Amino acid sequence: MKDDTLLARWLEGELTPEEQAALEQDPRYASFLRIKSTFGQIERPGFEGTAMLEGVLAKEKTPKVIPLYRRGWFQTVAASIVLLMGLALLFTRPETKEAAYGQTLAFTLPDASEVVLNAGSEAGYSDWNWENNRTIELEGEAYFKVARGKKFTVKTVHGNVIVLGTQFNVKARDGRLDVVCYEGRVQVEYNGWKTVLAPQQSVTIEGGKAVNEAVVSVKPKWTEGEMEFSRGKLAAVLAEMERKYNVEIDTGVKAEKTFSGTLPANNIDAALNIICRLYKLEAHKHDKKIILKPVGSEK
Amino acid sequence: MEKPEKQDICDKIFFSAFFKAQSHTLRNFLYFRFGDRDLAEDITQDAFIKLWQNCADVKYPKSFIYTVAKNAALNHTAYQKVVFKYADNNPGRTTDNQSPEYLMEEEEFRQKFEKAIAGLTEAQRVALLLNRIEGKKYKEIAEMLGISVKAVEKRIHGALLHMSEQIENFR
Repeated sequence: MKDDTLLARWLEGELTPEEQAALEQDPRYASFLRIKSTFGQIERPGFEGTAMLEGVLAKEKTPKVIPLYRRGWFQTVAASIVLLMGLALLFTRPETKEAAYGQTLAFTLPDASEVVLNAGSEAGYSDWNWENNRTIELEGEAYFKVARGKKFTVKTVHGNVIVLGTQFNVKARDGRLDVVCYEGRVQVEYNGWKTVLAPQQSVTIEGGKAVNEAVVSVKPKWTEGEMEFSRGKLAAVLAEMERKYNVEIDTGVKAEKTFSGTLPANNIDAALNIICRLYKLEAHKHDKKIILKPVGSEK
Repeated sequence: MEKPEKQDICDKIFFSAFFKAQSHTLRNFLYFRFGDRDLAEDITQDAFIKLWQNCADVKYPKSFIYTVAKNAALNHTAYQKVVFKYADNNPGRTTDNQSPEYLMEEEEFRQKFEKAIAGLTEAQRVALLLNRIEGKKYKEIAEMLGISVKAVEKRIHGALLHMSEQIENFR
């Protein structure tokens, strides 16, 4: 599914008639409906607030006036406490980083570890006590350069990646987890199953199966302006093109053939050319969309 | 120039009304994050106490309580499963069309459903439950979490996709 807000808009009844009709054709539609209706059966957790409110109102407000006879020491201590609390609030916000379509975002973690988010990806972590709890949640794809230190964990819905200080790439999209290790050791785990990767090794976990592969490059291609695929399905390739180029690409075509290779991320016509030749398609630009149709079909 | 009557959070009656309007949702937000009802209640109460004690200095009470709650929550990273209550758990309901097989399948589905929710990222889970169970619109959720509406929609879309996949895999 290429539109990554479709189901959210469907839930709130914000789809166009065309989108609604298309969604109803999706084989997973019945599953989505059942999930929605099951939510409809769930009761909102109840809350009895009377006792809590009484407890809150009963708390004495902190006096604004500092008694004169305690002035000096007390004022200094009070000021230090306020300053510390202020600093604590400043340093303990939970962080969310987001790379929009057509962009990448690089940022540094509190221990100087570096993260680069690929287009259409989001990461979340907390500054507080980072050195002792290095955990970051990832949706999408990111390249990590982790500083030496305690265990560093990347959590995704498709599995967790644990490292001790290495360079690696994690891609969690469309029911598939791809992890490539470029330096050091990376442990990947999912549902109780684990594997450890050495440099130039990768693992792909999809549909309960894991495939290991050797990798030649020393850094992921997407950080150098290219899109790389290993047995990528057509839908996944087009979805990545949409994120990198910030365009919409539609095709009714489903294909068995997978794509392994690289596409340019700075020349959409060249990229489309390669894909169209492989899948025997023609690209038609229509409004702001690109539509791919089989060669020779009616316009 | 006449100044309109400013709503004063230090005023006991106004504060109580604000508490009644906001506390339930704040507590549920924290409950969806941690699955620990007591923890959610404690953090909720602490946030309102801080608001009451600092009422004269707080410009935006709603933003304040969420900031305080999110900061207080930082020490706690463990997640216990959120427990759901289903509307038809009431015994004695008329059970036309509810054969034992149907009820068992329904119960099995609910277990897979809850397992799938527990497998979501915290970001996805909180956004989804705030919308589906707490009934909040995406704009409100965006304000509560401090992110864009599009980010909320992406999390919820991702959550539904993942749940659908997971439930299929549990067969």
